[in-house]
Amino acid sequence: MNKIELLAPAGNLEKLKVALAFGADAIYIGGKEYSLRARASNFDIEDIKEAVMLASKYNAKIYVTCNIIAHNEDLDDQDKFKNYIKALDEAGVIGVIVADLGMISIIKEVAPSLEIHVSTQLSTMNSETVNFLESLGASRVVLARECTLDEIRAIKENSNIELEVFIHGGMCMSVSGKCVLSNYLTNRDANRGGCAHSCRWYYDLYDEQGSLVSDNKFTFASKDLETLNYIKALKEIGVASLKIEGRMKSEHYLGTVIGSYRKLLDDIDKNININTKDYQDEIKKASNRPTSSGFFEGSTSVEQQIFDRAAEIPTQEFVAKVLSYDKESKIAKIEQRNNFNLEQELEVFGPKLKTTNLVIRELYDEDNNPVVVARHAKQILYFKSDLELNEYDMIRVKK
Amino acid sequence: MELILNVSKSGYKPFLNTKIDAFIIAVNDYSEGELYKLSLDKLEDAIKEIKVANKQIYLKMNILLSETKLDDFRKDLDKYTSLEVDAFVVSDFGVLNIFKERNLLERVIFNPETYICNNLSAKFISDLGVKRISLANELELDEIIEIGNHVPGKVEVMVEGLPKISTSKRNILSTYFDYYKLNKESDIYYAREENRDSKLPMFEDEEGLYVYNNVNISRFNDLSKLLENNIKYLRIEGFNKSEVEILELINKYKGGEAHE
Repeated sequence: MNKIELLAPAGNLEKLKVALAFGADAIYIGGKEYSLRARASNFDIEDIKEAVMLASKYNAKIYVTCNIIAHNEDLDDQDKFKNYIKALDEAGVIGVIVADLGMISIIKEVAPSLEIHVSTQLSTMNSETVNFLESLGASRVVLARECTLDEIRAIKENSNIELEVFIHGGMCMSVSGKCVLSNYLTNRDANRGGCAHSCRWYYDLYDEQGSLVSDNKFTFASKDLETLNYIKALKEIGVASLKIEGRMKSEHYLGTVIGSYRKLLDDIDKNININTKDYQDEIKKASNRPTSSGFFEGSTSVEQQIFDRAAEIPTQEFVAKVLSYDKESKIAKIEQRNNFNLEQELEVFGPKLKTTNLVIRELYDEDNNPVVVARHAKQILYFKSDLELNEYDMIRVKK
Repeated sequence: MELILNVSKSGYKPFLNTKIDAFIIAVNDYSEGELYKLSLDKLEDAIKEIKVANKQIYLKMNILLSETKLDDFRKDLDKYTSLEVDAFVVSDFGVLNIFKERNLLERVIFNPETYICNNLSAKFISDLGVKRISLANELELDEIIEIGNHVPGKVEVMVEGLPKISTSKRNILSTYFDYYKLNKESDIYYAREENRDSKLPMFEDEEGLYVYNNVNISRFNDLSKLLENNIKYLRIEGFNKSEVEILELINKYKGGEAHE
């Protein structure tokens, strides 16, 4: 079967390291400018160079988002934009993700070897658009999340360039690029990185006569996307890249989600009998929003929408990250991320470690003082583990 | 100046003998987010009436076209392009490409709503050969003027109306009514956020949900600056406006009585 790219987000270098460790084939990151998700930490050029260097150790690629729908003030200094693109090219970035077609000619002029991936912000739902974008120099198109599986198949059959498909994460209720709710309600430009997720707020609904329709609150919010059941089909179709959404997401989320899809892809390649429920159960430990298959089966209905606040699910708390493990002494060095106690029922998972129960019976700080409750953020701690652990393994509360 | 009315619930007939210069009318099957749409046979009658009144008519084919509908669109397009219609308002890049393949771009008004916000993209699309481009409603006056000067004579702006602030392919209203087992009886509903007073109007059609802001955009005070800078294609959005309100606006922009 075709080799397919697992493409993961990273909001900063630490998250990038986690994404690589858990098996992403490629990572997309945002620069300090020209990128959506302005509230992610994002990467300056030196960070981007380091990202490329780290990725190369895993034979992974780095793509950089330049996916705002720009206003003139963003592009007034065209030399600045050109220099930025040149710097990305020189840093070893493989491609840029753009939404503004006006930027494409500049990118092709200054860095012709940079791949141009057209963002989902362009709402590509048909092969005619893909072919049009190919004629402009795009080598990949990120399809709109409104495409059904059958439509993805047909688009692939009727076009030539690479297709990238979202497989997991937050879903805009609106067609990407066509929502400025945030602009009008909070004065934050959704198409330049400022989306305030106004669609997830709760509203009262009134009819044309001004009467309140119901005491039940109305929200536009949609469930997150989860497509474990469709990954094999997407591989068979020949989709080039499977995209996980979430540059704002935590390391725990990234490790859990990327790890699960990586395992699924590897198990598909090995022709192992797959029970997607196992992967779903794992992903649920890090997701706080309910999920659905989005548009994959067709028009959405009740199943794809959120209706009340009770739908938010508390995640299993991520309590520590493994920094290193000494095989001789069997001492694990960890970094605390949330409070936990000795004897508390925990579990540990990692890039090479299936989720395993864990109870820590003795814990020490850097001065070898015993610790009963790990309550200090990012405190470095040590414990003895007969179970062999690795850097990037993650410890969370067992449910 | 060309004053254009994007026809909504009031229809076009009340405005045939006014000083409005052009009507945008949505077509069944290939438009979305309009409360007034015409089928092909009704369109033919409308075109006759509008032409007799010496007005321009632009057909709105602004659907974001799914792959499933692509073949039908290609087959049906000739039925529309053979009509005595002055232009087609299009939002999808794939649809734009189909018009390009048929050498019909000079009849296209490209209106991707939120998308055209800078000189580069305006020029890029304009240089494809379209009749004109429609700018995003979210631009400030100086941005509009700057883009207008960059692509002279090719820019259309909304000067009056409630701006559309979200387009969804989800029938979120219907699913709300389904979930809570309520009856959906109105065309238009209003959403008021818990901590705010403003009510956002919205409605659904077979393609999805459309949400509007509740505050009218009016660029009347900017009219002379727009015209000085050769931005002369000015659009009134008819959504949620009564016939009287629209007549008053035509009067305001064209001066004197609305009727000719």
